[in-house]
Amino acid sequence: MTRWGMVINLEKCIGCWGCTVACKQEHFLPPRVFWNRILIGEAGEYPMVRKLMMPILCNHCEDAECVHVCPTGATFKREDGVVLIDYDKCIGCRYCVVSCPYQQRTYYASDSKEYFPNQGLTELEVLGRQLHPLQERTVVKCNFCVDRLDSGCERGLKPGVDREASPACVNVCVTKARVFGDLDDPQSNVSRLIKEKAGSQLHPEFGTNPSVYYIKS
Amino acid sequence: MEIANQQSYYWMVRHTPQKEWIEGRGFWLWLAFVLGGMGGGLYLVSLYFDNTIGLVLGWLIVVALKGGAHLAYLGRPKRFWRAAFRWQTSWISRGILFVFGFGLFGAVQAAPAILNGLPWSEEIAIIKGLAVLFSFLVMIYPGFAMGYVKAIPFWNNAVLPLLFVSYGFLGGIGLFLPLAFAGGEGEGTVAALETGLRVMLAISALLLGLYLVGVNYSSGAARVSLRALLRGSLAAPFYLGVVISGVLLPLMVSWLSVVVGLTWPLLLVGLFGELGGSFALRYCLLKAGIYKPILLSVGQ
Repeated sequence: MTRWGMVINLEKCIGCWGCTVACKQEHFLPPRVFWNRILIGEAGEYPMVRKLMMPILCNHCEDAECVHVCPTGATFKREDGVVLIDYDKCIGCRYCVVSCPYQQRTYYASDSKEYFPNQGLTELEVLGRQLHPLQERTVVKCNFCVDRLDSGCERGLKPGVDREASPACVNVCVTKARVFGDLDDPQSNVSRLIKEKAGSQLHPEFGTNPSVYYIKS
Repeated sequence: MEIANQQSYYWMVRHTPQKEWIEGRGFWLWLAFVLGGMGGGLYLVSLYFDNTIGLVLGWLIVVALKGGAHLAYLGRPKRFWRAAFRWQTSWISRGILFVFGFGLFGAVQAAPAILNGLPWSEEIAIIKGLAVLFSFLVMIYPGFAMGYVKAIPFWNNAVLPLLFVSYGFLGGIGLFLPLAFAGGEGEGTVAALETGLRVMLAISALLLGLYLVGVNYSSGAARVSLRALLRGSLAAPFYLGVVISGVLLPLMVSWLSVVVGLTWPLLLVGLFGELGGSFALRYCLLKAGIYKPILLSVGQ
């Protein structure tokens, strides 16, 4: 069985925001909707202050709270571990948003927001909403670029190895801080990295078993 | 989540408050949680004292007002029926079934008192039992819906459902008192209600104390919520609304009514104080919910 996952090397991330922009571009995400973020903070006290950066996205948890709490089945997990939302079933109750320990879901309140305020949607925005239609007043989130995964697999490509079958944020990362692959395959690049570099997950105490791991070095 | 007024890169860097269920349209959910408790409580108290007006009002509060508030909150209200089919795992799904059940059996139970010639009476035990069960479930399920959320440690507490039930009864008794007083229910009923009110006030205060103590021994994020509640941004609604208006004022009114007798002004002061306390409690609970930060969660 396949379980898609990602490993992010925190030492390699330079905070260039390439993943955030690539994600926005890939899915034509409207203003205020982020499926990929980089958190920036500080640790320590002067003069020993360190800048911290952490790329985050939906963790596609194995035991996903959002799947459990969804009252309509709009949020569901595929056999390959990718957690998706069926916008046609979502009623906008936001129980999933409230229940996500990582806060990686967005209630998409309005379809009318444009990138250039009071100037209407640009041609590109109009095109994007036709190509990647989101439904306003439903919840949206990262889908691991599932269209790329599926079409790549159909063509016999290997996600995480072949660019055409890998998520946009992985492809765009200039320092190769992001690695994508099959967590259930012990020989995959992600499994080896997690084992060799002691990969850790966000908030393991919640018992959600995220599919996104973080390593240092 | 809507991230207005917040840079995307600061999201979840520190303890982050939940907003979806209280801010903006979340107002409707807050209203629905309060009305569900009050309506269910009023229905149960009215059923105990066999008061038809109370039964109808309780039913209307739950079905029309609470149901309407839920629909007003939903992003896609026309699809609300879809929420009835995931009762195995979702408390919202269970909640909608409880409201449906209450709407059905509550109406069937109350109907013979209003309409003549129906082939059943209000004394059929199974109907009465189901009406009681569903009104109780309507009162308790918001506590479970919130308590299930592990991501918000402040809510993830076993006492929360009990607190919702006790405040539901409190609201129900508070709403029924004027009905009984105006409807000439007799001194015995009013006295029994006043005793019930005092008992429920004591139970609610005890449960609230237990809940807060439990939160204090919970995780760090829960303690941050508690600090906000007791000494931070929520201290004013908590002390003024929950403690003074919701507990001390009704207790004082109750004591005064023993000394000088129950009058309309006293009753209304007590009622509004208690209702204010009910609203303030849910507001504080929803508003104080926060998430653990994730920036430092992998040992940076």
